[in-house]
Amino acid sequence: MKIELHIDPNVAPEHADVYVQALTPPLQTALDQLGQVDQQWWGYQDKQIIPLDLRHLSLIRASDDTVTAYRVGGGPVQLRERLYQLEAALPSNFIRVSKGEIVNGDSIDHLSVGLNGLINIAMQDGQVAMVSRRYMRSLKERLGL
Amino acid sequence: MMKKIGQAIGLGIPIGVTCGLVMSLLFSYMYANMYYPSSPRFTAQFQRPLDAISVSILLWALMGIVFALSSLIFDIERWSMARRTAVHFLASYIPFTILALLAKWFPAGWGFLASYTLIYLGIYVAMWLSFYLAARHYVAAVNKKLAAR
Repeated sequence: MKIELHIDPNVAPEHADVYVQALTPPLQTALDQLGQVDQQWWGYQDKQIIPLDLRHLSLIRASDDTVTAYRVGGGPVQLRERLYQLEAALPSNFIRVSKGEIVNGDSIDHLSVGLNGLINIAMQDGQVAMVSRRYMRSLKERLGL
Repeated sequence: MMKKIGQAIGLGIPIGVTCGLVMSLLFSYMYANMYYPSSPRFTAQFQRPLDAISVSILLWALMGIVFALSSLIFDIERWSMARRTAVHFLASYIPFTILALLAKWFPAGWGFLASYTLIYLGIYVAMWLSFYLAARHYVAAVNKKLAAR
């Protein structure tokens, strides 16, 4: 890949234009990282503001008025952003699976079906999310099926 | 929300009309030598066959809309599956039965209504099972992919 880098303190907003013949997984990974270079996510817990490492987030769940992110090996934190904003801004390994849940595709342990026909996602850290009918297909696509 | 309802109606009408058309053609071939859009008792109500067909098409479209709209109930995530199923069953059975009676698909009588309901239940259970099996298949496929990573 031939790369041209233009450094100019006055450029705003910072942006990257990439010309390729096809979008490949390694390219997607590189783009995800590129998209996150100026992005720092913050979690709120009690009165503390905690910097977040996206690799350690397993699940983001929205309830009536709060958005909660579950950290692997840590407690849950609140996020200020709404789910639809997160869906747009988070890297591609974060997948919307239902009206109120986004999961980190890399932290999925396995899926299961209950007798009631609902599909559950068991995350590696023990959290459980639900895949609703609407998002079944996109989850499959995002996981590369 | 309105968009989902619009999409459901937009899908329900053509599917309902197509099903009605195919079924009425099948029945006409099997039981008569000419085209009947519905039972003879239904078509006998009309001055001309043209009107019988038009009204039938309208009823088919409405039936399609009933099922398309009621399927949206399954998207209510804060309800349990049992609740969604129960509400969906009633929300589809009651309007559809009214339309089927209007179309004179079966004579109005308790015995007929009972056997119709049994058939309806049978098809309902079969469809619910097929969705369940599809979910099982989906889960197996995804887990297989996850295990391979």
